[in-house]
Amino acid sequence: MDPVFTPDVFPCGCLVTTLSEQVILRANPYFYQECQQTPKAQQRLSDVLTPASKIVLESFVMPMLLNLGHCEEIQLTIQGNSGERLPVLVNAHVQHGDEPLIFWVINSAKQRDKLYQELVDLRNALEEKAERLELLSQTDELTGLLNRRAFISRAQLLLKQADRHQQTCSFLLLDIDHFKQINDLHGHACGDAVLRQLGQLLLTNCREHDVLARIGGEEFAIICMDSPSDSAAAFAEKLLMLVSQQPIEGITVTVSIGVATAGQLSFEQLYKQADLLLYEAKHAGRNRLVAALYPAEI
Amino acid sequence: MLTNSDVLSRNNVTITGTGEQVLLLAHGFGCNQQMWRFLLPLLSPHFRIVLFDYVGSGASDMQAYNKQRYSTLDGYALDIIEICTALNLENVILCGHSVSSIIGLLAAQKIPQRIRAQIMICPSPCFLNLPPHYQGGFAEADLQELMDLMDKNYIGWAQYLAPLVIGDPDAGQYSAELSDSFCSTNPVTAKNFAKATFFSDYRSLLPLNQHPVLLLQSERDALASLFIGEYMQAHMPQSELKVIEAKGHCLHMTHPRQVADQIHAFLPRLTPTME
Repeated sequence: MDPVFTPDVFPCGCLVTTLSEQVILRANPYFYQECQQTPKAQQRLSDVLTPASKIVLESFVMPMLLNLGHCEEIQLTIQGNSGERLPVLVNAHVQHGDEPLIFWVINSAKQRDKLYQELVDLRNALEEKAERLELLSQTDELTGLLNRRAFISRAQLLLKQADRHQQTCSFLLLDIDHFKQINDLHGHACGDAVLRQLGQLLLTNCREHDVLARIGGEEFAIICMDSPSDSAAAFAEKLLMLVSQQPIEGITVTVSIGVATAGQLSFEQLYKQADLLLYEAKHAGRNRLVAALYPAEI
Repeated sequence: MLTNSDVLSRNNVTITGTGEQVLLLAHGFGCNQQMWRFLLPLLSPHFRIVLFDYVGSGASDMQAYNKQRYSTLDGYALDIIEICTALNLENVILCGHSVSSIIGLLAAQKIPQRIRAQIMICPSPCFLNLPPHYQGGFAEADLQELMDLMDKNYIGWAQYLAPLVIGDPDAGQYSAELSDSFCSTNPVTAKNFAKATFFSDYRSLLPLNQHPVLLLQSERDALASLFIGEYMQAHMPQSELKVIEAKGHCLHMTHPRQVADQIHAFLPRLTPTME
């Protein structure tokens, strides 16, 4: 071989290791200089890596090498003799033969690591912000429940699921009776407290898969998939009782509920039916529920 | 509420092999079911083999990913439970690599009646050093560095900023491309899996084991030292430890013959199943 063209002259770490435990068989001076090591017998590549890099080596790099025969641009960290850490970029490929070998090229990645760190920090900050905004966009500020927009999208998912399982869904539309009077007589702060506490009361009594939201001024909605053991009307009955029995801010609060149950209505149709039933309940004297099954009774 | 076929497509379940005895192979952190391919030719004449990818790994359905469910190993165990239930599997031998051994143990405790035995390849119930009595191999700072290193690798490997741009980290549209490259799964799901794996401590689970367990270890493993194998054997009833004359953490890929031999030798030691 041309004496000038040898691994010894290249400004990158070159090494050959065994496949199964990455015992270093040959390495060029640049590699030893990079990791501040001197050649030793039975030295393994993992001996010069940080513990975290060993995990990446065993969990990603080796499976990739064993399965695909090569890997490119993997960032690892070399731990020098003096404890100094050097980020490096690793390429490798496997040569099969009587004794399978891995050929590695290891480059310093100090500058690139700095840029990546900036990207990681930026991404984490953005991610956190995005999560916060997403939550904000789905939440009703006053009660902490889902808002109308979030309710519609969750409700549509639930309806789709129910359709697939050929189950009926129920839409409970609740409206606080004489809410305007509460505001007028006790002030808006009291009205807000009533909304908040009623929201909590509903939340604690909803079942795990029910979707609950405040969808309008004094209007709450619950959509749920029906189960034979627990009818939506019985659930609404329980809510009526719970609300009327627990005075909020010293005021006896009652609600009226429209309960529409259907198998194959769209969200809009179901909402409209629940709204009509709620109107009936109001009209019939409030503090009551009116339930109907569609399309059986249409 | 998922139907049986939902579960099977969600977890990319494949069934192969011609034997009677069911063997469910569970891949470890960082990989997917392809990691079993070296072992398959040695096992498929003797077993009915069930392979799958955990949700968030390999060619699983990324739409089904739920960050909260998969932030502890119980979420992954639920994948195994749902697969066993969907296929109505009985007398299953669960074989897991690395963290999947513990995931299998969690699953086996929930559905003991479906499980016959467990085979654990290079397992560890806890990767953290908890002095003075337990040396999991890693300090908390090492594992923090792992998260950092994974981040930096995903910049190069995957579409690091894509989840931000698309807005939905679980969007199915780019998961397909990612699944093509072996072991480089979605950065969001892989980091969540890493946290669930490396920051957990499931040692208290070991004494509760109710099934025969074969522990397979290598002579030298950067992730699970011999101490860990001995610890598990000492704390887990009905377990036996076999050290394979080999080194490294991926024995089923580097030494499939020895692993298969141990599995075959383990079977006759099990009590016959009630048929």
